[in-house]
Amino acid sequence: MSNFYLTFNTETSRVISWQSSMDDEETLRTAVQDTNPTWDISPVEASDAPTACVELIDGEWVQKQKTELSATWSAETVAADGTAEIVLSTLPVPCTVYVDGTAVVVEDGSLEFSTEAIGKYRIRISEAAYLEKEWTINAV
Amino acid sequence: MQFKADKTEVYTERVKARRDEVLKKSQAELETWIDTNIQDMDDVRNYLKRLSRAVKVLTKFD
Repeated sequence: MSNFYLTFNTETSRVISWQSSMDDEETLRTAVQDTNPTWDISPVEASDAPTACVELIDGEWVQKQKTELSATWSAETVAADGTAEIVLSTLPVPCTVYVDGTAVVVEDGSLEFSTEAIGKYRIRISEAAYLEKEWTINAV
Repeated sequence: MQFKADKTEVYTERVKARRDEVLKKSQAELETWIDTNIQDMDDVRNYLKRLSRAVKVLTKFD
């Protein structure tokens, strides 16, 4: 009988993959950690795997489900004049926001966005404990 | 945190050309617009710049 397992990075708390395995948990853990000593595994229900995450609580890895980000924009269109700002607020602290693929680490819970260049900007958040979210901001 | 985003010049010129409110008119509307709005050499210069932007977007120069 096969079981489902999450593989995660113990340094970043990020889930790397999930897969079924015929091996028992300890055999699989040994195999995974032989290749990547900072990785670990956690048994998971197949249906829960795509939205599962892990958190270190009191020295033990606890499996949870990712939650929706509550972050919202004040507007999704901004004047490209270099001074007008729109704000992405109620971000987790800290949070890495990807602007067209460039990582911006936000430590204070909000990102005030401005630009002088018209066009569309792809904004994405991919935090370990939250469902990934993406917006397209239009600078006009 | 304040963040000022940027794009390459090639990208912004392409977007400007695609969003050009005059050039996106139908040919008949565009001709009417030219007859109404092109009055002197400054207007001609500005229109040529507008046209050259669109040409550069649509053409792959060697």
